[in-house]
Amino acid sequence: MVVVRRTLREFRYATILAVLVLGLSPVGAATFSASLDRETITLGESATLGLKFDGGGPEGPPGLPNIPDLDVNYIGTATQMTYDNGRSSSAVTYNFNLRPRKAGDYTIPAFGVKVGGATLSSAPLKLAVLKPSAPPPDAIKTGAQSAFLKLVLPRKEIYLGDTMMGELQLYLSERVLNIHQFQFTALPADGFTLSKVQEDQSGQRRVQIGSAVYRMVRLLFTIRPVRTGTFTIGPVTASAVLQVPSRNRPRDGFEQFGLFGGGGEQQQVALTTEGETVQALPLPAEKVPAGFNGAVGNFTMTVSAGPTNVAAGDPVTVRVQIVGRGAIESLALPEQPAWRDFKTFPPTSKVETDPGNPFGLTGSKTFEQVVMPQNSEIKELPAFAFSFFDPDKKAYATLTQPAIPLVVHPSASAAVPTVVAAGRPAQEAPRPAQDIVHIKPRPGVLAQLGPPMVLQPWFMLLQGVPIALWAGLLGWRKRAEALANNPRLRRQREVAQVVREGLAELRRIAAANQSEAFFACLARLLQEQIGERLDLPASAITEAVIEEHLLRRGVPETVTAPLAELFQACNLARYAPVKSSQELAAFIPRLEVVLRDLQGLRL
Amino acid sequence: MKAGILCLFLCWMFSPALRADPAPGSFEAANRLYEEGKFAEASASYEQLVQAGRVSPALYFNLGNAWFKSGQMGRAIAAYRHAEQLAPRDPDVRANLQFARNQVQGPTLPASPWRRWLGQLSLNEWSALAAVAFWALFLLLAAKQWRPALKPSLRTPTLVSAAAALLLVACLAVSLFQVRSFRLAVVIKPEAIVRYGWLDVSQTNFSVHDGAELQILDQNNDWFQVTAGPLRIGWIRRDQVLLVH
Repeated sequence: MVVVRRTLREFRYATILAVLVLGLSPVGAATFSASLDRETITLGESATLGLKFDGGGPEGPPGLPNIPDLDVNYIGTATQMTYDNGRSSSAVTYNFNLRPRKAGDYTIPAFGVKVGGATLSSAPLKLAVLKPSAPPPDAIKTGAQSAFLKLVLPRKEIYLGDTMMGELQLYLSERVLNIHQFQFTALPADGFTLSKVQEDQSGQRRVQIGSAVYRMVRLLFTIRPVRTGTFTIGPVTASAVLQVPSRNRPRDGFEQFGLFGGGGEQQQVALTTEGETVQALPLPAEKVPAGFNGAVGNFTMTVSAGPTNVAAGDPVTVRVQIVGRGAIESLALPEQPAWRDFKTFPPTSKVETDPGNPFGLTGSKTFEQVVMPQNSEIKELPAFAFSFFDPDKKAYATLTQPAIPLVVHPSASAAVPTVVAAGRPAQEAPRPAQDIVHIKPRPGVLAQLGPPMVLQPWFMLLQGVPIALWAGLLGWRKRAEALANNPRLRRQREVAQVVREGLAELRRIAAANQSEAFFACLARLLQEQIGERLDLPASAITEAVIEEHLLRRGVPETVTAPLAELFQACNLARYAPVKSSQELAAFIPRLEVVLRDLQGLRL
Repeated sequence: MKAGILCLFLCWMFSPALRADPAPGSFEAANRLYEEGKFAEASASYEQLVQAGRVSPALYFNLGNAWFKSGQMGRAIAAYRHAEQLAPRDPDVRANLQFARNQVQGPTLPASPWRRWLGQLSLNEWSALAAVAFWALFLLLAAKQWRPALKPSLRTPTLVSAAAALLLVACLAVSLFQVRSFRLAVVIKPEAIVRYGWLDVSQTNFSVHDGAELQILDQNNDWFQVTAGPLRIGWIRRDQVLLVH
């Protein structure tokens, strides 16, 4: 877009300038002429048509008549002003580029251009366009040819997918001092894709052809067919400007080395090669290996894998290096159906081309692919196969790397899901699942999510129950053992029980007004309690014990006096047993006080 | 009869799920959407049920399937993880979780073996097992106090139950510690950047993809410090992950 704007701007300036210049000139003196810079060109070259107006001209570039098979493009304006004896004159030339599409003779007819109301006409012009052709062999052998171009192809057949190196040899005669502005004007290669042409870095060679010696420059490129069929590459045409010794003076040493500008003259030449027919062949449809994925060339392969001692699901890196000649860059790892028990990831690749081959046709491509064994039943990484078509042998070839032993441990993670089919042979390796398990038709039991059970208070309290049970039983057992090992303590507890029961019986007997039984029971309770206190048999306790034991052991009279009174009451009741229920009941509190005092004694 | 009542009571006590009522209508409607291939709508329906607060392993499982079919790998894995927490030994849940994990690209947190082993049982199951062993131990101890004559014959069962109780309580403690301290997040964006710092301008450490599982180490405003394994620690935006627990 920028280029178009700039072109339009330049065109506008040129037109304005032309109008200004021509406007100053008297219209009556205007002349118009048309001319070609060359009357004969080779197909692929172009000629320049100049429309010159002296003393006046049109307001813009004049239109040219349509000429079949001739492309016409306006390329610019040239203005020339001259002063002669104080008078100025001007001329404007409109230049057009003519590029023929076919060889043959073209005629640019006379055509008129309106200038200041008058119509000026040009004379018809002829342009001869020659078919490109290589120079005759005789001219080459005798050295009459200053320069020529030769197309060299290594093979006349090429398979689809293969790539071959083409060569354009530029021969320069020894008298050519230098070459400038070399450019290809046509590089026809229907049915092929050509790479960029590069000069061979190995330098020029001296070649003798017939009696002539030439300097040869090799220009290299690659050819790759895009479809099958028979096609012609070339004729390749190029143009160049040669610097050759001047014909007017002898060649000197400085010219030999191109010093001081060489002093030679410029000579524009058109270089043309012969066309070369090449047949693009399809790859054979027979005996195509199963894993063939389009690789064409000649290759070798090395495969390694590591680590080889892994757990199921752990990555193993497989390194495949393919070395050889062919389209290295476009090589791809083929699918490996035998690796179905491995989860595979897209490989990474690294291309290393041969430094001596700038087009990358030789070198190596190294792939690194991560695979994961999916189960511990896997014992090896199955054999890796890579197939390619060898254009030299015109046959397919398959490179096979033997299986690599693996040690796969069971993974601690969940096993890869497998769909177990009924009747599957036991020895068949399980296949990885192809899809997720389908949804469940029933929701199951829906529940409110809450804190975990272990953090809920009731759970911790519940755990206290067995501890409490155990602790209670432990205490109970300890108590039982303590009693079993202490007769006095056991008697103390037994007497306390007897006393509790005796007091209840006393109340019942008192209510029944049974005086004799009441005092007998009262005396028995006193005997039991005193006997327990003194560690004596209860039957051995009499009133005399008060004096013999209690008083001697320092028991205060506040205890012994009521005790003696109770003993005396018991003795009196034997002889005067009649008492009322109230009188009998009145003894019970007194007995309770005495018993309590006796139980509190430390004897 | 009494034993049956006791059994029902224990079941009620150890499984709060049994105390709930099913809600088949909404669930079946969501299933219908799934069967019709309307996975996004199905996942939204399942999500509504989850948001209602009453969940089940099947609900989370179906939600995970719907997310998976919608291409939301991270959300699917999160749902499967929830289902796994409720039903850790459900083969369908484990299969789909593993299948979804296999689709995840890039770094993700490797599961440690002991965590996998502990994950065989849910926290409530560990609690119930530990409680049973604990009760058995103290009942045996109590029996020995009650009937000292049984001590010789109860010696071996007591030792076994003591060892089991010790082991199970230890497992429960570790499992509880893991639940309380281990925070897991799942990436829910197609690609998320883990940076060296918690600023948008911080340098990129590594990238994670949808479904990658990350352990949360720290938090700073809208950023989580996460790890995807040794030497892979960085900060990720909170809106790029989904917390599992």
